[in-house]
Amino acid sequence: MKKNNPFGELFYRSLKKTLLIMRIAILFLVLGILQVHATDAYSQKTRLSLNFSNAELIDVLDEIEEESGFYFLYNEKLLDTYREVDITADNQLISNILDNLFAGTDVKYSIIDSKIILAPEYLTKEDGELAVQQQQTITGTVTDAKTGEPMVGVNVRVKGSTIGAITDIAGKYSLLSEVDPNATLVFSFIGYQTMEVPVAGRQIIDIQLVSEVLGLEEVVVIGYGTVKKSDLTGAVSSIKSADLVQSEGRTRVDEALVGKMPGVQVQFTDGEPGSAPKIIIRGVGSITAGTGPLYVVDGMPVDNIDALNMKDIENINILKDASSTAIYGSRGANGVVIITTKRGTEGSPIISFDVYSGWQKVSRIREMLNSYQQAKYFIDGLKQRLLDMGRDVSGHPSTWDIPAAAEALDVVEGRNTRDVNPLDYVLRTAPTQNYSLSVKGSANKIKYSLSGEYLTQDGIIIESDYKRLAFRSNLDIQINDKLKVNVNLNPTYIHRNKVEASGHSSEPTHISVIGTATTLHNYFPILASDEEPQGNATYYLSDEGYYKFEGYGAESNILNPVAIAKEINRDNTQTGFLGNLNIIYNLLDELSVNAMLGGYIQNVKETYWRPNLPDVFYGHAGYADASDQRSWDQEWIMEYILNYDNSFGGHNLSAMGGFTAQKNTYHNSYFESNRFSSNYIETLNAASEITGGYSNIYEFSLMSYLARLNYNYNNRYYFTSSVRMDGSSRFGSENRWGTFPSVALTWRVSEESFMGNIEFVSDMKIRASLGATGNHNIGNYEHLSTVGFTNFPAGSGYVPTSVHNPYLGWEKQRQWNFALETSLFNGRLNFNIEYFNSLSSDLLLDVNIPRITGFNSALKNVGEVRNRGWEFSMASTIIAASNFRWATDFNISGYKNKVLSLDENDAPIISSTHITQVGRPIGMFRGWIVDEERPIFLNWEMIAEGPVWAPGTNAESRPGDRIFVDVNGDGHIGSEDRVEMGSPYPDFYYGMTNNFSYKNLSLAVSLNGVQGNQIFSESARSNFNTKGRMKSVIEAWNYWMSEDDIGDGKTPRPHHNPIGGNRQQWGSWALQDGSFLRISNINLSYEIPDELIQRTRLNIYSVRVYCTAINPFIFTNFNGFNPEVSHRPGDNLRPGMDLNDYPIAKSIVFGVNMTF
Amino acid sequence: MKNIFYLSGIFLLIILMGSCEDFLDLEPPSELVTGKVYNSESDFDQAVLGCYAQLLGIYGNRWQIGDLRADDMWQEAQNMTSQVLVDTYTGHTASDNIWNNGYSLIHYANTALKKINDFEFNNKNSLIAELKFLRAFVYFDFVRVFGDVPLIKEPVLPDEAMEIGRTDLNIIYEDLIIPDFKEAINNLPSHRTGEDIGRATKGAATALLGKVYLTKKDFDNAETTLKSLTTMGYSLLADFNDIYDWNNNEHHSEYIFDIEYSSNPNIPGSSFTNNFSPNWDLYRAHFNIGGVLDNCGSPTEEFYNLFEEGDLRQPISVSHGFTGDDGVFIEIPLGANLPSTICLKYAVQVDNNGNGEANWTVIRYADVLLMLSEAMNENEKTNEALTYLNQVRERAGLEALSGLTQAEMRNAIEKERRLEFFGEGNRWFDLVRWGKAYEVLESLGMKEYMVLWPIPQLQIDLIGNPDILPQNPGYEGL
Repeated sequence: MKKNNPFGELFYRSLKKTLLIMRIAILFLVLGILQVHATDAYSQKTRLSLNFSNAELIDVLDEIEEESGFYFLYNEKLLDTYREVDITADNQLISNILDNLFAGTDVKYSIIDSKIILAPEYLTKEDGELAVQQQQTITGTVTDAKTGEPMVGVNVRVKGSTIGAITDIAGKYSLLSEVDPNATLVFSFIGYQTMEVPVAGRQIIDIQLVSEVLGLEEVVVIGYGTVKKSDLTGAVSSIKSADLVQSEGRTRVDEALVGKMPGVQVQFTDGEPGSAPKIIIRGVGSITAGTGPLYVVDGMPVDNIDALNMKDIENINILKDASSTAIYGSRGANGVVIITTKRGTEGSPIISFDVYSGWQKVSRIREMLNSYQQAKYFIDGLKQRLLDMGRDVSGHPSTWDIPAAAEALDVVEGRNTRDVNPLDYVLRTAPTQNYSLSVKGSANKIKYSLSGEYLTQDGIIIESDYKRLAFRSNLDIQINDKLKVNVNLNPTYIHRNKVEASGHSSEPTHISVIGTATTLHNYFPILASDEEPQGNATYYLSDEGYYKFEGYGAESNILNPVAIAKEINRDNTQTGFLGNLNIIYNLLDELSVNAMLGGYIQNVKETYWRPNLPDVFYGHAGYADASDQRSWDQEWIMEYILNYDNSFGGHNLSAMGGFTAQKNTYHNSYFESNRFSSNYIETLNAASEITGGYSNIYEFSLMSYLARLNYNYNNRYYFTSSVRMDGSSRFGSENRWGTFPSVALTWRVSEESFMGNIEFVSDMKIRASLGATGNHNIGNYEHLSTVGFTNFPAGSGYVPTSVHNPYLGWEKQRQWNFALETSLFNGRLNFNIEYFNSLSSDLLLDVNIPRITGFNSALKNVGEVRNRGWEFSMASTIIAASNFRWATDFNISGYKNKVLSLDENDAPIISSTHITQVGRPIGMFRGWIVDEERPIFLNWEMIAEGPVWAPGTNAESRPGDRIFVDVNGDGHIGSEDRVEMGSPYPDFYYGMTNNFSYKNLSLAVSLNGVQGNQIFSESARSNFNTKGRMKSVIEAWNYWMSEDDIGDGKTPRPHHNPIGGNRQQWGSWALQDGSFLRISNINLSYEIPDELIQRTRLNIYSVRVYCTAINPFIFTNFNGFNPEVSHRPGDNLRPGMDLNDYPIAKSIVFGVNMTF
Repeated sequence: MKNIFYLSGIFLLIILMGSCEDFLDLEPPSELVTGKVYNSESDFDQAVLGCYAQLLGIYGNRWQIGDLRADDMWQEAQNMTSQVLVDTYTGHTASDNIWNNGYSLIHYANTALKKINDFEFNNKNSLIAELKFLRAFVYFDFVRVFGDVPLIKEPVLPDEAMEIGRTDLNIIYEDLIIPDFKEAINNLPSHRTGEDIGRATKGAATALLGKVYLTKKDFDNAETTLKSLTTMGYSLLADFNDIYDWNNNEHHSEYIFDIEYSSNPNIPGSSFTNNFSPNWDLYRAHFNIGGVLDNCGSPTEEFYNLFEEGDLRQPISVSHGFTGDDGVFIEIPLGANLPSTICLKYAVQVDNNGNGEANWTVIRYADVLLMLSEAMNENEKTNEALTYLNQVRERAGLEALSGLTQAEMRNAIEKERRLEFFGEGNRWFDLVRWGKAYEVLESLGMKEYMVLWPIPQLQIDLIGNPDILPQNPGYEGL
């Protein structure tokens, strides 16, 4: 080639160097992308058989496309598609076939996803000879709009002329002739939308091409199979490993789902390290049975995903509507979470090492009275009592008829200035660390993905911690062209030191770290190392170095929070082994059979030890307490699935049918003793006798037949139908088998010809589905009649203790789902709107039955609950410049729950805090409602107006007491005025994620929130009971003291012996707004530039450093540790309760991720 | 490699062909299902004992029906509003208790009776007889307390139960109570020995059948049936007080059938000591009665005055105090919010509240003698009847009566029963049987319809159809 311009040559030489560096970088990037993408479902290991002689290349390529699911991208001008070729291949790897096909030509291929890009070799050369050899007028880079990767072989042409160019491996093009500044460039590439760009005098024009099938080629895992996202007919939400990256630093996989999916509530109800979030999919559809979703990991249904390593996850798909979940039959009603783990990739090993380290501390604490306020509150409460009794309170409080407690007077009169929150003693900044290592690759037809993880996390309450060790080995063995075997093995180990965090604390028998720490006044010393407060009160220090809180006038008899945390040991170990073997055999091209055998074992061991320390645990003085609890959970499953897949003349058909059986056996045992002669040995062998215990075995078996048909015509009209028949040992003999059908219709409007003109609509789909599912979480043997033993002086006998109910069956759910999916502007803006209406019927209730049966109640399938809701989600790419991207995902959902019927008489189910009645949602709060207009009686005139509490009794309301709403209008407040008073259900909940990337830097910010629910704070019984012997919340301040000193006019007076319903359980004063907005995640990560890595001369492929802040900010009016409360997580009838539960943490972690 | 496929295919076929139902039919390894028991003689023996245990619940507060609702007993019931209040005749947990526990027992008995047919063993007829005895025993209470009730002779499922209404009590007598007792008489042993002491005997069935006939005013059959007992070896104890010496032999010559309680920690005890205790700390301390209770079933002062001078039954039936450990009689202090009288029949030391040794006497020989006397008097054999009445009187240290007319005799028997059986659950049933309940109790607030008790309202509500299960008149809308 000519090099006749020395000046130009100099210029080009320096340019060449720069370009070289850039290209090397880009090459690495492309290689990296190639490798990353090689993990996808379509991979190079695909095998084909071909037999062509003297055929044109284009026919061979067509055949390969048809056989393999790959499609070719190439520039027709650069590829001689009419070249005659001979090729014979018998079940050869596609790479081998392509090697043969293009042997001796200059064509190179690369495989990305299911795309095979063909381009002449010179375009892929590194030195970019083409670009520098000729005079150029316009240059630029063409990249893929979605992935940002450079595109090779793109046709660039000046409109209306013969001037043109092709992009090279780096996506670079150069036009070599003069171009009219007013001309228009046309960029075209098969599979991508052609773009026309006016030159407008520019010399550099960078372009992003948009795939015509953007995002729709993604494969979504549904139950017992996969479909292309474009062919999806049900409501399925997905999250991929790439989206999980921003949650690096979270302990559990399910935590990463928070706020990411519409219709899926992920609640952090318990801050204990390693504890599972509560997941509710599309509302609560059961009154007494379980509401958790079914988890399926690599085809294995499992009880929990406690030990899953987040870095192993390839994707998570949540099936929400009944047409998707019906394939799981009697287990589908609460939704199904399908988790797929990463598999091995073709090629040399890729080793990843990730380490992060961080700290956590309490997210927020309850705001309470300080020492002075609390002491004054107590003394004023005493004064109120004495005034009620008509006693003289003019003298010094120590001279009153009931003298004020010395410890409170010390504070009020300045002798004791201590003001330290006891929470400071039991909460801490806790470190966390995680190391994970994985290797993926292939060797001798075996693809492997091996990983190990070690996680250690201290709890934010002292003495609590969590350690996890998890290994995984996923092997794919191609035995021959028809037979493939997949093996997954996953051993895990979890160890936890637990503390007794939760619960009330008003008695010395109450053992709760948070309860005692929020009950104890700030002016008491706690440990021997504390300075003993000055003043007249005396403080008792036990030999063990803990102050003892007993016998104080101003404080309840409670335990020392530090002692509870330190002296009591609860040690929990969990080991698990999950494994399955998949044999996939291709009977015909269209027909394959998949046999799966799997099983898991999970062992849990928990030991408890409370030493006998009479001065410390004085509620249990004189004896120690120990228990030893073990469980063994084992399950095996087998599954045989036939898959059929065919297309003909626009008809696309796939069908699946199969059989599966599984059996679970659960053993547990528990032994306890309090007969220990010393504190030296903590195990039961030191006890003189075992004082209690049990051991049980439970079994459960399930056998199912399932089938599904997916049909579409021209990718335009879709029909899906599935059916599952489940036989379960949990159900009565007359109702052992159930059938769960579903049907779904989808119309892809955007494929219609009349939509052809509406260019901004890239995809539009209308879906409707109806399906039936069940909830089998009802206990193992409820349908059987069992006997119980009784003793009689003439000997022991037995009697039947439960009714035989051969008709007992699963709880049923029928759900309608309607959806509109729209993708606009080449997939840059996506909307999805869903509406569902699900009716849960045959709900299990223990209903009263005529006593002539011999029993007073029996479990029956009677209740009905409806959930109706909507979901909206939006995904948009706001900015997609070559080095800056901003994408936003947003979702919002809401549902309304309504009980349609209960038992025969529809009798409401009432507990002390909740009521469940027909026509209202399950588990609404129940109590006396404080009158918002007139919250307290300010004076005797108002008392005269009423309504007063319990007139004529000692508890009758007086000025300063609360005013309740007289619901039944009888003029006074009594038990009939205790009614539904609030709702634990939000009006809506939402989540949003913003992803920014600038060059090598990425930032992800996620938030989530709920709006409109209330929280029933059971701790108000201690902390807002107006009595003042337990530390009070800040809301108790500014109280009424006399007709002339009314405080804020709405806060009731303190009272040493509360009257007027101030302390009754329960009232609306214990309710708080539960709405919150939380920044759940901020993740900042930086990819170290390749040239820096190169300089190290180490064999490092990539290095990424990151920092994640988890739950850094929360905005809420709730005065507590955590607005996502669930004190009784399994109890659907009593939701929304808060009781000093383990507080949740906010945390920050720093990590580095290296790939070799 | 194809072998693997074929093997798995064969495996699949085996599974499909094999019995699915077996795979799905799982029984709990740690719980006993009904299907596993009722399989052997010892199983059925235990099933029968299970029914007996149910009696403990039924009879725990039967005194509230048999005595408290009648005229000789009262109780202060501030904290016991759920119990029977004599002054208002409200509160019916005692009758609810009979219905609920009674139908459970009937179900247990019917279940065992149904299953026992499939087996053959030596003791089978005796066990069947015992089950029928228990079933008839409960039904006899049912018809006397509630009138017409559902007649359940086989186990019923909940859905079937919704359609079952009340059966005329005469049909229940003819269909179940009388034939069941007769079968029991034929097949039950005359005596129980060893561990079996306390279980039903031929004598118990005979005595109860006699009471059934007497209640039905079938005096001929009553006389024959009751008379047969006089030759079965029963006799009155010499000392009336010995009947209530619960720490000694409870199964003496006068005993015919009791509800058996035991203070053994693993066996339910009785709470009769509490139930007949005033809220008097000295008394409670003496018998080790704990807890906060009101004054419970106390005899009235009028009842105290009914006894003739020298009636040996008076000191234990109705007393103005008790004798302490040192043998000194302690009188109830006046004006201390206490009743003036106590019944001492169940006054024994208890080691724990509600875990007393005292039995509930269902029927004893004195009852047989007085019933026989009553039947014969109605059969116009007044003179012969007098001999049986006098046996009871003489044991009580009273002079024998003579030369009474039939009507005078009736009054004498009625008074004798009233004095003999105070606190043993007979007075109310006697008054109803004699048709005198309303006449005697009207002044205490009784209405005419109250000869029957209400059916538990929950049961009425559950059926929700008065055409199937109506409430007893007067109690509608409780």
